[in-house]
Amino acid sequence: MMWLKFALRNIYKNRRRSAATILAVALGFCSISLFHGYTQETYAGVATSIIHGGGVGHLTVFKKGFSERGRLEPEKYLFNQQEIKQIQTLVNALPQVMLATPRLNLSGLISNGKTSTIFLAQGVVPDEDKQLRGEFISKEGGLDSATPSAVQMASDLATILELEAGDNAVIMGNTFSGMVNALDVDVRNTYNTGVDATNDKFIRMPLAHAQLFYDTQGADKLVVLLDDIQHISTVKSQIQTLAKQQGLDIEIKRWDELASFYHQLKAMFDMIFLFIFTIVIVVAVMSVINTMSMTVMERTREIGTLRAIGVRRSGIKWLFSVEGGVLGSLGCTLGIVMTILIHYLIKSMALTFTPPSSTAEVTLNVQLDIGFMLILSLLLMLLALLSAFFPAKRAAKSTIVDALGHV
Amino acid sequence: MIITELKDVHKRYHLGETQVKALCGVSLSIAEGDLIAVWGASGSGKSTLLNIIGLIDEPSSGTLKLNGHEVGEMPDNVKTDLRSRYMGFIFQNFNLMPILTALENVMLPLQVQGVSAAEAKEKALNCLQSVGMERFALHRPDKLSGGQRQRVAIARGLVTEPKLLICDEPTANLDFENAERVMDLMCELNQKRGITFLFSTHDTRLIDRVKRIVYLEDGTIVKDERA
Repeated sequence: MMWLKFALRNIYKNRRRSAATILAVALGFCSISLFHGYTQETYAGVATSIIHGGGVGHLTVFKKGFSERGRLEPEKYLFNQQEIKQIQTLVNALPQVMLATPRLNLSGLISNGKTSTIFLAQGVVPDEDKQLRGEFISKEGGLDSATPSAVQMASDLATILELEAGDNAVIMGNTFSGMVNALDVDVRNTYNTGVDATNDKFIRMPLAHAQLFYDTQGADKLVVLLDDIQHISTVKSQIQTLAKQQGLDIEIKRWDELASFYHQLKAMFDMIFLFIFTIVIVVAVMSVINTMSMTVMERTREIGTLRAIGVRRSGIKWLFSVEGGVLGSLGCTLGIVMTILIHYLIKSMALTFTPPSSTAEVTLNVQLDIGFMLILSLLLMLLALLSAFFPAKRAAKSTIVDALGHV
Repeated sequence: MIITELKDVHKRYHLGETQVKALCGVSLSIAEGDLIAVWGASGSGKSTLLNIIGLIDEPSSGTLKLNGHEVGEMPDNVKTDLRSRYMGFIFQNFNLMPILTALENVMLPLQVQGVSAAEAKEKALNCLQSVGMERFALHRPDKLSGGQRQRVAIARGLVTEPKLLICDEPTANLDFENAERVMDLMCELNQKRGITFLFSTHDTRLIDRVKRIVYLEDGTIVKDERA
């Protein structure tokens, strides 16, 4: 307590210098916390947009070998009606599972009568798709089981084909048995996939129509939606165990295994974060080192006096370390306040931007990660304490006579 | 009873390539209740002698005993604790902590010893009273005159009830009137409470007030006389 009183009074005595140091630590803290919050928000946003917006779900169940050979021989890796039912029954029995819905991907040519272009389509169960996509369902609404030929078309594809809601087109391709097939589709509405690369190709249609296109009753995957992203690992292993018991030969992929983009994005942001974190920490710590070195230098005679009246060398180290720690903690406290204020400022301003390769604006959001802020506070306080410890150690080592004679 | 005893103490400093002999074979005994002035010109080795006796400097050779125990090879922490328990210091420049009040400055040596704040406060107030500074207990050093600061420094030196109070030129930064007051106080504390004082000075006006004068010249005791 005595050293804390010393520290607080000395900080107040040199208030201008202390304020500059506290501000440096606070700005460092704030910039790291905000950038961390931004990256976390981005990761969470991308994850949600992949899981719900992209309809990938938390887990996807395929037939064993689909990921290696499924594109070459899709018909061999289809689940039949019975298998779909069996997997749904098995998966839905788990309390963390909210939905297990079949999907069928297809591709071919689409024509408006004058122009043709390639398309990639997803056959989904409309009601279950609504549940999966939730808020990501376009304003115009989702698909409808009652009108299986009514499809949702990506906006750039609709523009290329000069189609609007209510227009019709023809999709063409081969069935699994190799026969040429063509089906009419009606444009129910258009939507934005959010990505340049897919917005000129994608179609979403009811599963029944997709099955008709390929002349099958099967599905190439089942998408599983969970109540919480934290349950992925548990549920995955439970499904694997249950499937094995029932003789089902399946493979299960997590959402992030199907989205390499997520890992690339995360790796890039993590690297930028590490770079910024290192620079900011170095600047903040250098500021504390500078302040504490000056303080120790100015108070050398005081150190000599304290040593003369019975303070041990360790006491001198404590005295200045506590002062450094207090500077660090005051800086962190101010940093927390600044972070919270800026967080709410950004929220209230509702700033938007368009990410690279994206066709839609997103809102700039910054997460408040209390756990991270506490860890960062502890780290900065520890570094501030160490920044003071080494100059103090040097000063405590000097002889008392030299310290007392210091001018 | 002998508190401190020096035998054939030498102290040499190195200033670049030059060797300076600050003390040359000094032997001295300090008994309890003494009021000793170490008198000498600047550079005669007064401060060095006091520093060695106060365990804040080490002799180059010779022995130093405190309460009959040789302290030469003792670890730093032991010497620090001995200083805390047996010594009090009064410096020429007062060396009060500028951020602490007079009361807190006096409490400090006790708190360093681990005495509780309440007990330290009570003892510190008594000491401030004994040097006539109780009215200024809550004043910071920068609000006190030189004489008042030195009286606070004396109270700080006294508060741990040391066996020996070492004062390095305690009146050097004071005008004569204040120097006289400080000297009066030291004599009074020596007579009434039996506190042992060892102080250095080159002020001839003060040395007729002491019980014993040790004359130093070029690091050697040339005369040791009792009044």
